[in-house]
Amino acid sequence: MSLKTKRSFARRTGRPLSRKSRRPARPARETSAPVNHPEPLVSVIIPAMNEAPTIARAIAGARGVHPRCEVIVVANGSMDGTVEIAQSCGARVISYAEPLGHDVGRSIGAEVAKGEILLFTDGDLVLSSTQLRPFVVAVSGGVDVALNNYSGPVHRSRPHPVVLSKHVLNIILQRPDLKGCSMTAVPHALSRKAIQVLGSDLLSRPPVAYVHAVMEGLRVEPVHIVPVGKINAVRRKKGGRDPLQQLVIADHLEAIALLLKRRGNRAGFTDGIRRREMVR
Amino acid sequence: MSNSSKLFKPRIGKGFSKSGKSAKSSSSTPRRSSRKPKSGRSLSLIPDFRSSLSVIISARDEEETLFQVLKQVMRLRPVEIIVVLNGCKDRSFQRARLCKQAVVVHCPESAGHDVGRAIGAKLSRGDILLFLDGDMVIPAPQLISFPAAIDGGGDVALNDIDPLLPNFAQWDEVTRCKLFLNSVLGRTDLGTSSITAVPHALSRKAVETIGCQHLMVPPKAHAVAIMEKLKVEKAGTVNVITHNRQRKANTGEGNAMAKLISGDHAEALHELLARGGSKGFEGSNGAESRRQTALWRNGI
Repeated sequence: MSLKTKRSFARRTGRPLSRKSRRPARPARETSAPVNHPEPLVSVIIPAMNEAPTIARAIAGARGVHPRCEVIVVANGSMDGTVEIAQSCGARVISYAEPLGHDVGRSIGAEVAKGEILLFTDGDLVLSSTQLRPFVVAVSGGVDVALNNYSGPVHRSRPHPVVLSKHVLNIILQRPDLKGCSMTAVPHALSRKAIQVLGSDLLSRPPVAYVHAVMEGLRVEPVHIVPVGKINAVRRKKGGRDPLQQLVIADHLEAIALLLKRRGNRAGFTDGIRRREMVR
Repeated sequence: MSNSSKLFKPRIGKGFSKSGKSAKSSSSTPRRSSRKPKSGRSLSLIPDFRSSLSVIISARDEEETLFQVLKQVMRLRPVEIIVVLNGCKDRSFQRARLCKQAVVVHCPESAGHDVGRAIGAKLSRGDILLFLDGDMVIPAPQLISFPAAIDGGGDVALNDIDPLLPNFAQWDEVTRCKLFLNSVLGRTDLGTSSITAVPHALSRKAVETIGCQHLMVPPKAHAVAIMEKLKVEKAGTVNVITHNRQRKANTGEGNAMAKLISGDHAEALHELLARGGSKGFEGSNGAESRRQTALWRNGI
């Protein structure tokens, strides 16, 4: 089967701005009985919170990445039938009545995953197997952290604060080649080794895990672009503030703090020939 | 010609031992009607500052431009001009000496990047400090807004280069760091403005609060100024992007200069994290915040 990407993407349909405009749930059309492989090579982790309209298609895309594949849906705070749909699609469903919190589902899924390759995506992200397979292929080829090679919308005069944070983190990591790539963005895939080095807990704070991965010498590479585009779709702000933006920037600051702790106050950059003693 | 300056007497075009060509006047403000551009004398701007002005010029092998820079600076009627020659191997020293008023500090061995600013600040006496580079001739009328902002009560007057920037995709690493630092300091309104860039002016209070020695790591000085609640503002736009001298060390991605300044920003972020100065971000990524954010994202 060719791993080449299709020439064009269908526009991402998965993240409507408001509940009202969401499409009604489409029944999953599965020809073969979808079941998780008993000894999976690839575990696909799909956190989901009220994603009934998209979860079936998200699972269908995930299912096709590898013949030996398990799909793990971490449903949390869902009251719209997400759990039932996921179960009918043959996914292993871990269900929590309460919301786990932003990115916490990744840790829960990684905890129970049995595969050698862990692919992370999202319940509202409908992607074909073709879009997801390059991440799996990269990890099976020796990459430890296979990132989405998407830097966010950069062709505008002022960057989105989250996009800026990702770029600056890579600059301070001395990996400007990674531009705006980050473990914050899905899809991405991790090797079993990466999970052992990072620990599944850390995956809830992706930028911190990311800094760890780079500093521990794991092979971190952008492997394939999935323009997840409006990942931070415009939503009503909470008292003029965007809590997600605050959270992601706080994650990045924590990641920078870790980096500075490990590499020193200048994050490993030299001081040139600066003679600081000249001025007191 | 009237002069309302209370602190220093007018000295028009006499500061130089050799009078040069009359300065370009095309961009000067229409402050005076009695301008004599062809008189062969340097134009003076008669700034009406209540406080005294010190100008600090850092230079590294700038014999081509240094004299022109000094000529424009003289038009501001500073009480002192301090030229710090940092590892100059050319005739910059001789050029600087052409300006009688200038105090020339000559460090034959380079003291390193931006150390000249700290040396100059340490030696200065004025109430307003204007920092310039010797490689960039900026007409005096464009310079005036920076000391004027300090004279009007500001502490840190910055160059606003935001209107000159291309798309984010084309920004260099340093520009990205500058905007990020301002946003985590809670000052997105400052855009990419930073003490890192010249020209900028500081009040005596700012210099004392920041500490002269910290001026050699400008992003750190910038962060400290904001965290110490000094009045930091944009004071004008001078195009330093196209005027900046291209050297081997400061061009291309990942160049030595960019790395040094990235390290300076790391140091600034370290200071910010140590002081807990990340405005409004602390605790925004705890377990409860993550839950609340998930709920909000779900429209609940």
